[in-house]
Amino acid sequence: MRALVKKAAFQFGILMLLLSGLQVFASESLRLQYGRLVPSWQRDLLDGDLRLLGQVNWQDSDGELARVFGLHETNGKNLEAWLQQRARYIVDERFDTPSKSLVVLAPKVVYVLASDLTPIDSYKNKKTIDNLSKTLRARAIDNSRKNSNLQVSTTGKVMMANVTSRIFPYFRYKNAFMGVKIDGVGVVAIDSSQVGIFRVGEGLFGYSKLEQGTDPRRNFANRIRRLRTLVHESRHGDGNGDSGTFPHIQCPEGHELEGLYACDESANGPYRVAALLMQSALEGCQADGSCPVEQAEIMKLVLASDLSRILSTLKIMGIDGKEVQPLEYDPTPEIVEAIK
Amino acid sequence: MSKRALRLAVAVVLILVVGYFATLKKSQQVTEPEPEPAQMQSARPQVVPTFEPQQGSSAAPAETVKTNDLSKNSERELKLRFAEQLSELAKALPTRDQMKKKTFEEVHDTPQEVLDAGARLGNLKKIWLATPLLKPQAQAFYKACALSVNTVTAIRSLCLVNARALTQELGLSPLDEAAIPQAIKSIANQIPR
Repeated sequence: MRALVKKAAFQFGILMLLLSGLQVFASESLRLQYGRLVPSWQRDLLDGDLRLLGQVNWQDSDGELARVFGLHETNGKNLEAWLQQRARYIVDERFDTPSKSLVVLAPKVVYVLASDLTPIDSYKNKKTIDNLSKTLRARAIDNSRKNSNLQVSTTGKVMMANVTSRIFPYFRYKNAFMGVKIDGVGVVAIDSSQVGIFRVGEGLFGYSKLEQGTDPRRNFANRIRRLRTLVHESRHGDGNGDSGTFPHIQCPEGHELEGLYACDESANGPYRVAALLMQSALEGCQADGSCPVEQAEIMKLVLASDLSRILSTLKIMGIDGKEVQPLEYDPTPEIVEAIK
Repeated sequence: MSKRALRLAVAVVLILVVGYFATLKKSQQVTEPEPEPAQMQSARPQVVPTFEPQQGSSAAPAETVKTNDLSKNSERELKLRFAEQLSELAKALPTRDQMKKKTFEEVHDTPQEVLDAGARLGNLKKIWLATPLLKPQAQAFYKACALSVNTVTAIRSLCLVNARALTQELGLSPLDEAAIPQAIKSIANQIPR
């Protein structure tokens, strides 16, 4: 009997050790995977940003963050899971996707939720939403496919680009299950528009030269600003059919960015998720005093800048004098489901 | 001891060792200060809050208000200097016209000029929080900024947040917001105070 108890205790101990070991490795696996050419200082900063995700006092007083992100509850763990589902690989700013980097993994597949039309046709046949004309809408989406998922700083340096959202329509068009070769990582199978490969450049780590401190890139405000950019670009991996990749549209007449593809039609697009993240961090850090006042002001201005691009909610606010229901796209991603 | 028990013991030791090092590595990642990138090692000294004129602006830099040196300045001098700083800041804030000249690539994320304005406004707030006698001037500045039609929407919204807060704190009569567009008021309503 004693021997049996000893044996059971021994086995239980081993099981616990295995579980704790697995837990350590599981949390390690949540980190981003980097291409070989991503500079180590950029990896350091981004890894630090992701670690911060679990340490911030995220607040969500009206529950909007949880609703729009589709989270059961707003906390660091859930936000990390949301981000890790979409932001997986980081490549350097010179990374391109020439045909030699693309690998056909299966020649014929079904893209679930995708339109039967070719991408170009589907854009042209998209029915107008709200006040946008067909032509404007088609041009907006078409142009955004080409450009919008690329962020470039004022100095011309690449900030961040969602590579997957730019190449996914091509894979869909080809009805092929494809992968992308990343130096230092291997072949990444793109079985969903959410398999985020992000091109990152020096611009992402920019800041105001007027900020104080030995390295403002490591301060709270700039780390949250980068996480917000990561969340913004991650949203470009969501959506399906015509609203797939949540493309930006031209800012309307009267807007200070009039004519530029720097606005969102939907109230759950990239600028909104970015704004919600910033708002949540601000509420939390002001409540517990973890962000200095000068950093909080920058965060508020970035938040206001994001909010000023969400046309759906601005219309509710009355930018054009009439109230409309907020437009929200279906965030369900397109996936490769079955091989024909 | 049987061979099976020996194997199990070895496995346990291995798991313990690997688990220990993995945990150690993880805790170091959280607690250790991150190394400075080579290009950032020339540490910039902490400077006292000040407003720098916008690049290309002909205005001379405003003199710094040293918040820890208040005893040497009379209240009047302090207010005069602060007024100069506010004037410089007002000139340095980016305008809607400037934004209209930007390319898509420059405005997809918050434009650099807006980030710089954030740093300037942050320094401003730090000053009046440390020197309460400057609050009435700050309130007047924020009010004018919120009403300024050619100032960038995001900045007007943030100015409105601060103007409302200071108006309430100073016990002034409520702001007349009739001339402020609803969109700016609504953005301001979404910014935590």
